[in-house]
Amino acid sequence: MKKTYIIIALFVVANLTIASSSDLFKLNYNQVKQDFKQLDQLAEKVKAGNLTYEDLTATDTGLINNLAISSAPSIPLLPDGALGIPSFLWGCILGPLGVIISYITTHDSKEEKKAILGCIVETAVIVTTLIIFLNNFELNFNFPSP
Amino acid sequence: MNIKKLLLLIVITTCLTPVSAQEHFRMRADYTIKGKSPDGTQHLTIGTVYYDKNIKKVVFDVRFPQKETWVQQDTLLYKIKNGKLIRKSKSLDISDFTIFSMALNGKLSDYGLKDSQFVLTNVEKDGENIISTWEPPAAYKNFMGKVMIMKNNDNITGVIFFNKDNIIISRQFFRKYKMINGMAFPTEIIIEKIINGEKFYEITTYENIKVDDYQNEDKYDFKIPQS
Repeated sequence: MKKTYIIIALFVVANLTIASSSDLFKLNYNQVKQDFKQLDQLAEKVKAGNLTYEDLTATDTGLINNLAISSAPSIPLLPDGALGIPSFLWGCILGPLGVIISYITTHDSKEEKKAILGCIVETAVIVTTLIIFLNNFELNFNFPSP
Repeated sequence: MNIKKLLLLIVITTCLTPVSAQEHFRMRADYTIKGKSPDGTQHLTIGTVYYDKNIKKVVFDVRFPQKETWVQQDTLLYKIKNGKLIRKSKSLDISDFTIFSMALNGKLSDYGLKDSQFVLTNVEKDGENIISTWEPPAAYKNFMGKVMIMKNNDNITGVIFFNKDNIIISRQFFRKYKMINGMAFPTEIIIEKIINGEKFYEITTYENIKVDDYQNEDKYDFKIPQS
C-alpha cells in the first residue's frame, strides 16, 4: 500500500513539474497582436503604396508622430534576446554561436572583440589539448599481414 | 609531429566538424519587423532578404524606412543606397549563424545548442510538446543561466533564456511554420525582452518565401559597388 502512495505521489509531482515548465512558454498572443494593431495597419499601408519614411512624413506627419516611428531599419538575423551575459563567456562557451549572439545583442565593437577573444581561447585550448594528446601517445598502425 | 599524428589530427578535426546533410542551399523571403523600444519609439522595417549558403552573403533589400541594401559578407557590413556604397563597417562573419542558415542546414530545431558546450540536462513531454533544458558548464553558472527549448513535431516553438538567478530575461516564440520545398520555416517570430521588469516585444513576419530559388542571381550574389 505504501508503495502505491509513493507511486501516486511521484506521478503527481512529475505532472506538476511538466505543467510548470509548459506554463513558462505561455504567451498572451492575442494581447501582443492587439498591441501591434496600429503598426500592422501602417505596414499594410506602406506595402500597398510602396512608401518610404520620407513619403510618409511628406503626406502624414501625424501618423509618424503618433506612432513615434523610428527612421532606422532593423535587420532580421538570428533571433536575439537581451541576455546580459559577458561576451567573453559567450565566445568561450558557445564558440562562433557565442560570437554572433554577442554581436546581435550588444552591437558593441568592444563586446564583439571580447567574444572573439573567448572563441579564440576556446579554440586554442582544444588545439593545445589535441597536440599534447598526440605528442604523448605513440601511434602504431600495425596491420595484420595476409 | 609525424605524418601519422598529423593525419589523426585532421581526422579528429573533421569528425568534430558538424556535417551538413541538407540539400537546401538558398532562400529568399519578404520580411516585416515591428517592434517597440524602451525609449517609447516604435520601429517598422519592410524588405526582402536573400541568402545563399555557398555565396555566404546575407543581402537585405530594405524598402522601408528607406530604400537601401544591406549586405553582410565575411567581416564587413555594407550599406548601399541609390547604387552607391554609403557605408562600410566592420562586423563579424555571421552568415552561418542567421536563422536562414540554421534553417537551410537543419540546425534551427535545437537553436544551435547541440553544437555548443551547453549540456542537455532534462527533457519533458507535455502532449505534443517536448521541452528540453540546457545548462551552461558548471564553471560559468555564476554568469549565466539555463536555456529552455520547446519543440513541437521537431520544430522549435519557443526558447527561454534565464539569468544566473534563474529569472527569465528573454523569450522567443516561433510560430506559423510553413513547409517550403520540404523545409520548415517559422513565418512569425515573436521576441519578448524583459528590461527592468517590463516586457517589450518585436514581431518578425516572413512572406513569399522561396527555398532553392534559381532566380534573382544578382541579389544572392549582390555586387558591392565602389564608393
